[in-house]
This record gives sequence, structure tokens and C-alpha cells, in this order.
Amino acid sequence: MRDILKFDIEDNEIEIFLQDVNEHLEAMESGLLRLEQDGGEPAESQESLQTAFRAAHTLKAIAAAVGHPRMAELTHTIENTFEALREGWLRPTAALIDELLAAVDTLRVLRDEVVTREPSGIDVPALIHWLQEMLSEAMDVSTATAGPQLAWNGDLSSVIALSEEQLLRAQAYVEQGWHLWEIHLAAKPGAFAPLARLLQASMALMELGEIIVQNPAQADLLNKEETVPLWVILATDTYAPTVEAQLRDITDIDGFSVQPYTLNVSEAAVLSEVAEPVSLTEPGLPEELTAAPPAPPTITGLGREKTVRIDVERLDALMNLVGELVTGRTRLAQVETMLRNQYGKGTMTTALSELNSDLGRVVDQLQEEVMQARMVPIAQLFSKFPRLIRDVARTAHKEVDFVIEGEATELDRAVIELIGDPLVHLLRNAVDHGLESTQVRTAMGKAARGTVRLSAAHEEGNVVITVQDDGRGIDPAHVRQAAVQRGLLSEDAAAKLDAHEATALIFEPNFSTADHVTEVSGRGVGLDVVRTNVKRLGGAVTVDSTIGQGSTFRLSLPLTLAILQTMLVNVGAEVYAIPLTGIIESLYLADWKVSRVRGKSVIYWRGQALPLLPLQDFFAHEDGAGEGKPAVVVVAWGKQRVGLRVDGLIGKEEIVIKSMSPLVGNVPGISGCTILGDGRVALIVDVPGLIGAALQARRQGEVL
Amino acid sequence: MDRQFVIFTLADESFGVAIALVERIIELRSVARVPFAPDFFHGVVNLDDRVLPVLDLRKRFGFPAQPPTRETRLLVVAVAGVRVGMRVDRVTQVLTVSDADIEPLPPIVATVHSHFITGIAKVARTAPESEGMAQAEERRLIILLNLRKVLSTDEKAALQGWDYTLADVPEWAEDAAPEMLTDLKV
Repeated sequence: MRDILKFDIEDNEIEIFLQDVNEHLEAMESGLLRLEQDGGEPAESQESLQTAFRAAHTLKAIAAAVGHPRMAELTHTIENTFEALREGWLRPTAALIDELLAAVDTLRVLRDEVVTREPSGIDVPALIHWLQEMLSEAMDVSTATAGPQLAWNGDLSSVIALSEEQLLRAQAYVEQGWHLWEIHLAAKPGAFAPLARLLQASMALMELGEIIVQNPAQADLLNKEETVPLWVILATDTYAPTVEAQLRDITDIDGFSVQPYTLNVSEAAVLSEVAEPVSLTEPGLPEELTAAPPAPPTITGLGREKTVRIDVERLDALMNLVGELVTGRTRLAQVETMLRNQYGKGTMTTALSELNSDLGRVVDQLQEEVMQARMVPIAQLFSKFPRLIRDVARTAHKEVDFVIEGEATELDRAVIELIGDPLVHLLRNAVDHGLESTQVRTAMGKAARGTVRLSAAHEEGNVVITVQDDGRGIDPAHVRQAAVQRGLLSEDAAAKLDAHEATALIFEPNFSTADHVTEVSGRGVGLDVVRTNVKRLGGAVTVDSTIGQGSTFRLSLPLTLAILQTMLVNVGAEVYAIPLTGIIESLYLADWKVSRVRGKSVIYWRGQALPLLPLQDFFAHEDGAGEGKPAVVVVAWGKQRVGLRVDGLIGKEEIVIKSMSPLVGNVPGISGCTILGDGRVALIVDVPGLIGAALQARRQGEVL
Repeated sequence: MDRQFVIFTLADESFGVAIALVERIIELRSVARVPFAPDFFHGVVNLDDRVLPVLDLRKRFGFPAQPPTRETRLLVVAVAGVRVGMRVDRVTQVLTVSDADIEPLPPIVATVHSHFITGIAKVARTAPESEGMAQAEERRLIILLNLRKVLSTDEKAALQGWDYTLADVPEWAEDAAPEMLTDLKV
């Protein structure tokens, strides 16, 4: 039987725990990556290190709070390492950064233990040991070289023994993994207010932890008449160089020494034997003795904005309610029209109209606000990618400059969640297959380091994300050949495709699975999956490529998934919703002359032969003509234009997208469904999918 | 042990599903057909502003199609989190059946493929539901359905090339926590 881990966390807190932990892990990781990029210049990396340090510090507290000692311990060691890096006495070597990144990954595994409650079996002590070795080596070197001009040269005779109570406290700190430092210092002879300097030093030390004992005591310092040396035992979770740095900042200090203070073990052990029963049984004992040492103050509260964290599910529920409100309002407008038609204009109908338009305004604003609340900067997602690129580049032995642009672009968090995987795919491909090896690049006269550029921008109500590399590009000839080999299309058909169409074949299912295709084309690992996912979001993906210069993948995505502007149409007995973003124009069929070209219906529209796709045939509803005036809805996907022949236009409507039941799979040409004002269900047309499927059918000579 | 079943008919045959799996029974309403779906997939309907997929059980079991009548009902069932409506000819009653009256699998069941069936209940005829039926036999047979199988699609042949996926429904659970059936309208 497997062990079950116990944590001090309720099931309903796990979501928040994960959010918090992920946030801090990402902060640590990005700090490390920036540190690596900056080449470890302390001056440049201060800010990243400070952020990473803070994140580690908070994470340690979280881990301790849920009762995960291994996680807390590892985070503690990482925190110390960050501190050493920040203080500059540890150099950020490649090996150290690798190890710290591995430590962050280990923390992820430990994080998951809280969810699964199963021990992962990951080796935490070894990692902690490695980091600690690194730290103590660096500390030895650093202590040996630090600040000789301030070296303590007084005598150490002021040392006095710790009282019982002080020993207990010191021991409690040591057990918690803190260090004890014995500090001697003196003010410069003739300094102005020398005792005030010592008091200042004492206060400065208190910022680092807790002073177990000092001589003279703080209260006595100002009463002294002559300068005396100060002796302090400090308990802190920082290392000697940090303590020294803290003291060096104080003016008029003559010299100081910071030495590790070792508790007299036998004395402490005896005391703890005595102390434990005492602390348990005697309520009169001062709290200080029994309570755990106070945690150092956290700094996470600084710079906090006036924000409230809200559960995503609650936000989704809110959005759904607003969606229903929008539907209700549409229904109300229908009732209003019906009433006016039936009773004509009167006081009541006018009052209803006014009410309806007021209500409409409020609903619109509400919708806008809730929508805004769901918007998050895409940086949330993009921040994960530098690590990905780094790892892929390392494995592939390539040098890559990774450029991120437009990370402030905002979009619906639901969209962000769903495009993660496709982007990982594209970025991985770009480094792994898109970029040539350094040797090849140099031989071609290109910069040795390849560039991968990830950018996001708003364009006409959509968000466009591009993944661009300056690698070898995609050769349409190879793609054609590979597609024919894979049996995707005949040699003739392949020859007819222009370069752009041929390149687009890489998105076809089955294209990707053959390994040799990957080699010759340099592309094609699961790109059909990318297209499917993007399509599911109501978006589209296209590729532009020039041989030898690189490829650009372009993902066009809706800003939000919740609400869609559509045109409702009758198709047989059904109502379909066509997203307005895909529509160029709607025409009444009666105004146009339908011609037959090679047996297919077309109309000549804006100087081109526009193929007509009768939706009723395509969807195989054998109902006979539906209600309305036959019409053509001209839709576009990329450069392709198709006229969808429908039985009637109902009108524009803002719809709330409902998820199809999981029971219903992926339906060609359909992206989802909605509930209309009259309570009926309408399916939403997936324009890119529909055109794709129709073109495929046309190649097989079935439709169009 | 006694178990409760919701009994419905399809082409004059009686079927039962465990009451714990039945959420509601509603009248047939406007259905949006889903293109490329298998023919037993009736379409989707609006149930409390949510989209509910509906299976036509007549077609699922290979009975001849029949236009809806006044008595046509949708049985809304939930199996392992998958909510689905099942179109049936008529819902007749809620019946308590003792385990002793349930037989595993009969040697011959002509009408319904045997893997849809968990057992056959033999119950005594009672007056209320005998209307329109011959009183000749003393006992009648009720086919108890394995909803998991009914909701799953092992038979790829029926799927007409559509990537028709179903959530993985665990083995039909006799021990599923019985939920109170609050709005059963028979």
C-alpha cells in the first residue's frame, strides 16, 4: 500500500494554494533566467534577485503553513542561495543556475504532492545538500576576504555566558535552521555620539533576526558615559556576509567581527531536557520561551494594489449570468416589437421602449465591465516561455535569442488557458526544427544565434499572436512531396497548389506523424493539433515562410470566448449562427445570377467567381427550403472566399456561447452552440473549419 | 434488496433504468439537429439554459422510427457526470423490484442487443399500468438497461465517420449514491 501524505490544507483551499505557489515559482524561475541573461552582474540583477528572493521567502511560509517540511526546507535553502547571490558573495555560475532551476522543478513536484497526497519519491535532501555545500564554500571564501579594513582588533574578553533562558531561545532558532553569529564591534575613537552608533548597529542587526543577548544591553547603551565595545549574539536566517554588509553601512564603526557562535551542546541538551516538561506543564512560563521564534517580517505586502483575488469559477458564473441577462434583454426587445406591431405606438409601448433601451445600456456596461474583469495580460502565459526556449535550445545545442513583444496585450483568461499548448508546440518547433544548427547558420552567412520572436497585438477585435523564427523556412516542394507520399492528395492535385497552399498542408492531420517529413520539411510535429485547438477557440492559424529566411506562424484569436456577434440564418428547419468576424457581406440570392462552372454553382462577385456552398446540403438536412428570402453569406478565411447559401437571413444577434455536452465530439464546421431568445438551440458555424471541410469535399468532387 | 426503477416503453417493450440515475422527465421540446451525427443522436435541446444532448432510444435499439406523440418524453439521466436526454415513447411508472425478481441475462432477447442489458425483471402485473395491454400473462418482463453501454459507442460502424466521442462512463453503478428524485412527472 502506498503512503498517504497528510497536509494541513482543506480541499477548497487547494486551488488558491496552487495559484499562490505557481505565482512564486514563476517569479523564482524568471528571476533565474534573467540572472542568466544578465551574465550575473549583481548590479543589473539586483531587482530580479530581490523578486526571486521574496518569492522564495513567501513560498517557504506557504509550505510551512500547509505542513510540507521538505518543501519548506528546500525553499529555505533556495532562499539562502538567492540571498547569497544578491549580496554578491556567490557567483551565478551556469552549474548553479541549472541546479536552482532543477530545484524549482523539484518544488513543482513537491507542490503536486499536496494535490495527489502521494509521495513523489523525489530526492530533496541531495539537492539541499548540494546547494548548502555551494553556499558554505562560497561563504568561507567570502568571509576570508571581506572588509579587512573593518576587522575587529579588540579583545574578546567581554564574552559572557548565556543565561538559561537565552540558551533555550538560541536553541529554538538553531533547530529551525537559523544561524547564530557572535558579533563584536566598536565605534571609532573620537566619533560623534559613539554610543548612538552602537545603538544604531544593534538596531540594524535586529532587522536581520533576533538578538539573543547583547552587552551592553540596548537600554544601557545610552546611559553609558564612555565608549565600550558591543558584543552581540544574533540569531538570523542570513549568512555572515549579509550581517557584515549590514554593519558596513553604519558610519563611524571602527571595526567588527562576525563569527559563528556554537551553542554549548551539552549545556543546551541538558537544558532542553529540563525545559520541555517545563514549557508544557507550567502555564506561568513566559510565552517567549515556548512559542516558536517569530517569523521574520514578510515583505509581500509592499506595493500591493487595491485588488481582490476572485475565484475563476465565480468570474465564469458571473459571466454566464450576464450572458443570460443579454439573452433576456434580446427576448424583451422581441416582445416589445411584437407589442408595438399588435397595438401600435401608445403610452405603454413607448414606456416599454424607453425602459428597454435604458436596461440595454446598463446591461451593455455590465457586460463590458465583467468582460474587462476577465481580461488578463498575456504576460501571464508568455512568462513561462523563456524557460521552455532555454531548455529546448540546450537540448538541441542551438543558440537562441528569444524576443517577446506585446506582453501587455490583454485577452480573456479562458483564451489564455487554451492557447498555452499550441504556443508551446509552435515555439518548440521553431527552435527544434525551424532554426538551423550554429554551424549551418555560420556557413550560410547568417548570425550564429538564431532568433525566435513571440509577439502579441490587438488587430480589429482579434488578438494576433505570431511565432517567428529566422531559420531555414519551409520548402513547399518538400511539403508537396511529403503530402503525396502520405497519400493526402494526388500528385496532380499537389502540383496545382500554389506555394502558400502547399505550405498550409503542414496543418493537415496525418501529415505530422511521419518522422522523415519532419527531417525534410523541418516542420510538422503535431501542427494539426495546433490548428484544431485554435479552431476550437474560434480562431485561425496561418503560416508564411521563405526558404532560408524563416517562418512566421500567425494565430488569430477572439478576445473573448463568452460572447459572440453573429448573424442568424435559417437552414432548412434549423437556425445557425455565423460569427460576424468571418462575414464579409450578405447578399440576397435573387439579385445575383448563378452560373455553373465545371458543374459547380458560382456567382460573379467583386470580380471573382465566388463558389457557393449550400449549407443545407453540406449539413445534410433534407428539409426543403426553410423560412425567408434565399441569401448568400460571403465568408472568408485567409484569402479564401466562399458564399454560404442559406434559406433566409434572420438578423444580427449577440449570442452567449454554450459549451456542447462532452458527449458531442468535434463536429466538422461547427464550433459550439447557443440558446436563442426564443429558447431554441442554435449551432454556431465554424467558418474556417467549414471552408476547410468544403474545400476538401470539393477536391473529392462532392460539394460546391 | 429492493431497487427502484423508472419504467418506460419503446415499441411496446418495457425498459427500466435505476431511479438514482434519472434526474428528470420532461416533455419533448424543440431539438436542434447536429450535422454528421449518428442517426440515433437526436440533437441538442435547451434544458434550463444549458445544452442537453438527446439520444433517440428507438433508433439506438434499432426499432422503427416513429413521429413524436403526446406521450413522448425525454428521460434526463446522468451517468458519471455525463448528462443526456433519452427520447422514449412513454414513461409508465416507478417500480420497486426485488433482487430476487431480477434475472441476469435471459437466453433469448430478440429486440435489444444483449450488451445493453444488465438483467431482466419479472414482475407481477398490477392494474394501473395494464391499460391497453392484454391481461393474459400473470407476469411481465422488464428489460433493465446498462446505461453506460447505451451511452457509449463501441460500434464504430454506426458513427458514419464522425468523431463521436463519449465521456468515459464507468461500469454501470448499482452502488451509485441514490439521489432523490424530486420532480418526477409520470
